[in-house]
Amino acid sequence: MSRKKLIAIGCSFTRDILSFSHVSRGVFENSSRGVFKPGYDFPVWPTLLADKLDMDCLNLGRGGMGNDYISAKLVDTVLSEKKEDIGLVVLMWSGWQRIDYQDIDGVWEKMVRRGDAWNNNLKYNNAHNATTKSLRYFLMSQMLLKDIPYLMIQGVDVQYKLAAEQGIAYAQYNLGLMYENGDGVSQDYKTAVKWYRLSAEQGNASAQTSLGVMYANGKGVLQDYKTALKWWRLSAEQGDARAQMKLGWMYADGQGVLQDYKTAVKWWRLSAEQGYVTAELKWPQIFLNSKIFDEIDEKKFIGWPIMREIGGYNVIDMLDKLDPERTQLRISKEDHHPNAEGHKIIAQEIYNAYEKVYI
Amino acid sequence: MSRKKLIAIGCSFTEHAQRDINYKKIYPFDVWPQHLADKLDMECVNLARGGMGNEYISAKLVDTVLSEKKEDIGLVVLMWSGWQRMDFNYNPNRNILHDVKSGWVGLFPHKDNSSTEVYPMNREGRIVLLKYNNTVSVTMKSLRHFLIAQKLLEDIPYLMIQGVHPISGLVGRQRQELGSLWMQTFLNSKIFDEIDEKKFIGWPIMQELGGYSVTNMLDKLDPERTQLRISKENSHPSGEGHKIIAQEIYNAYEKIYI
Repeated sequence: MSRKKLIAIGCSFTRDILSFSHVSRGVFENSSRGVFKPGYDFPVWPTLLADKLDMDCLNLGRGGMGNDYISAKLVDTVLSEKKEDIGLVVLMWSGWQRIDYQDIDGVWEKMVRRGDAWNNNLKYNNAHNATTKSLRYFLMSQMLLKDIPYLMIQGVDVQYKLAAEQGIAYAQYNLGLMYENGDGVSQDYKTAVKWYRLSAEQGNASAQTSLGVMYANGKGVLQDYKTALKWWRLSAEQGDARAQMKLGWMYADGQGVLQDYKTAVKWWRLSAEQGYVTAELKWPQIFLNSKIFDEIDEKKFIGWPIMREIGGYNVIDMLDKLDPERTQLRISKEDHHPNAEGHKIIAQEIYNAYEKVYI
Repeated sequence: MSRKKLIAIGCSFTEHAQRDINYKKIYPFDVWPQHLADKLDMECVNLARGGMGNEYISAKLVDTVLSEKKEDIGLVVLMWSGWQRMDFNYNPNRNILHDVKSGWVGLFPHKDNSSTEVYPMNREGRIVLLKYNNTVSVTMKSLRHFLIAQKLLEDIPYLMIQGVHPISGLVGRQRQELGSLWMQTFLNSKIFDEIDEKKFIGWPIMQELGGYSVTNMLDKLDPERTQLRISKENSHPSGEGHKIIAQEIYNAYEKIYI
């Protein structure tokens, strides 16, 4: 009797370099992606887990891909594999804001992180959209897999950090917001100011407003109304309703500027015409408020509810807890992908969950 | 005993409103979900929204499955939208549109709509986006939406139909090249054979393959678009058009569920 299959789907935390031909590996080694270097030739968690479970390993992980890809590959799997041949499906979910497409040859690609298309996509594909979309993927997968043994786990961080580090103004703004509010990270006003400033200097109006708020309130910087006014003016002139409201108050109160009610009213009106409202949901709130949240089978979603603030974890958290300096379980400090030891830890974690649910 | 619900999800061919971002007015006639609900003696729940694509329809279906009791649902009808449309869910408390309550915003990169886009896209951005939102990508995405919807609705009476043309802008040489790529992708997909054609009215959608969409259906009966459309300029179904659509769906319902 042939062995059952372990089917693993995910991003670069799952992909198996050993399954690439030497030619492909050579291409990647010389490419700007730069992650396929000598020293990556070790078995990854799906291989290790399949060995533990005495199953054949089918690794559909692909670097750079997001949850569109994972969900699509799951549909392919459900269609192409016989149920009785599947021993276990493991979905290691990717960053929630990634956008994946198939090119006209059907090959999966990620959207390049530059230019107007990406920046606009980040605006459209904001925290709210990315969170609700990924939750739908979780639920749909759970439904598709109702008669098949499966486990899920969140691999990389769900949030904006990667894009922010690559200099995208909107992502930098969002990261600033996260640090200011302590959303998904420890609250840190200085770091918030750092990201707001990077974004504001690229002309992001929301970041300019937020940076102004930090100066006005003396959070992460010395209180300085004149500098607050400078940033709010730049933002208000771009049409940011929040900045227009705040600029109005500066004129009304004569803070950092000569008191001038007429100008105050001018800015307030512009703000009100845009129907300025202040409520801004935050990541964990969006997540917790979704109807889907309660529908996820937490026994089969390792680390659920994913976010540290509400008692969950992802693979990054798990590795960081064991190796906070990132010297033992990661490729290097610069490359946060799991190394051979890291993959062993991940395989063991998934095996433990499998044992609890299915053995 | 309270009546069961007819839940209809779709785009402007289903919504009981004519809208753009500046105004919204209700049509002075009933649209197909109401006609159908009347025929079936069900309560009409119309979750459609103009301008939206299949991501929205799929998401609203998930909401429905989660929020409604199975035994309260009499029928779910999904009228699928244009496959190239992109939909995004946003915080409804953020006032980025005049209509702040819907929580959804649409993007159609195949047309230059920068004057009405929430975040206007320049030409370069649009070209990049079109590369990703290509014929193969959008076809596969919609097929997956169909299959997942079918799985979600396994234990609930449902029907599906394609509303507007799936792919727009196929004219001249482009029609030949993209049309053939589209058809190959559609026919070669593993999902194609999995769709329950009894419950997908007009399957396999494309006229070339013997299928049809609502647009085809209305055009067959009214090629001049003078009877069943709002006007020559506004291709949305008129009051009469909506009655025809409701009857078509009712006929399919009768065959399967009565």
